[in-house]
Amino acid sequence: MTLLDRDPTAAAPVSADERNLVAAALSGDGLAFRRLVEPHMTMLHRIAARVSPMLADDAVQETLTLAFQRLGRYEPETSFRAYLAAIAARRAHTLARGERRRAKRQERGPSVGAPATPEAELHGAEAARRVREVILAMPKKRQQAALLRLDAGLDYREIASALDSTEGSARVLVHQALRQLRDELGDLLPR
Amino acid sequence: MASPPDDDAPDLRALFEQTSHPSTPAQQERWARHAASLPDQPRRRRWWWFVPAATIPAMVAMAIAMWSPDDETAGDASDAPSTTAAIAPVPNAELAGLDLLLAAADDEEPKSSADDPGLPGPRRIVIQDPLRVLDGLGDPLGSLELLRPPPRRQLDRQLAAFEATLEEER
Repeated sequence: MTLLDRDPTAAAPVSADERNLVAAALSGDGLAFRRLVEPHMTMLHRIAARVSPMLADDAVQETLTLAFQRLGRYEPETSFRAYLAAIAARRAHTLARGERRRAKRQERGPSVGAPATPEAELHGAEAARRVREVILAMPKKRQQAALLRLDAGLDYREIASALDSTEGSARVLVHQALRQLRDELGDLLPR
Repeated sequence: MASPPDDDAPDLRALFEQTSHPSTPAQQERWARHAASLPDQPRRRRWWWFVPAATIPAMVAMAIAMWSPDDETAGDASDAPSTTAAIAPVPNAELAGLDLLLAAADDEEPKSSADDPGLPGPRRIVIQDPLRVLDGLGDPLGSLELLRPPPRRQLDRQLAAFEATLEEER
């Protein structure tokens, strides 16, 4: 299942079932927490792999751990998907920053993941590398807004909630991110 | 396509979809198991949780240090603080000498003749420097150092009493 195939109702604020699962998870029910996060794992992996493909697996795991540890601070009236996506975007940013530092120390360019041998795959890998470079070059908030909009599929209200800002600020950040992506990746976009 | 209702970037969304990294079922199952195991894992302790615990010994030591053995209750065995230890009477005359020496450590100078510990009986050792109790806890022999030598005048008087006792027994 890809992000785009997800249930459209998942974007709605927390359902009663989700609220019950949060309460059960807070009281120590592991299966409840699993049921709570399972529908969002593809989205978490997309965000993590966008900025750091090599560390995406760890990033998802760390995101789940952080999400559970901070579950007590989650506000039930807000979107749980936005709550998870915000943690994933921040975690991915942190991991990518560490990865770039390591790459700099080893006097290599930014990590681009394993090279693909088939030509088509090589073309896809090259496009993914360029997208990642543009994302990584963005200021932190703009980067998170881009990931939350394009990889997590959040609406402006959810992005505002995830970034702890207003809906207007979220719109501005997304607008700036989209403009930068179009400017720098225009040749990759469908005509 | 379940994009946000106010989709303003279908072209970029398509590019992101095309260049995304799909996760495998094995990965998803592993993350799901990890999520289910989280409540069983010990929660990470914050470093500042240890600060109050670390200050407890220091606070106890400070409280002991502020307590004065010269308080009015110091002579009352029933209110004896933890820095005093009761010693049973020693029947043997020779050991009674040791008891006298221990008793002599009660105070630097008896306040009056009524305070003079006198001959063998229940004795208390008042530790002059309570902080040193903590230092001596790990070394039982070290606690002997807590006994300060009694004043010369008092020691002479008690030795004379000890010799008089031996003389009477002869």
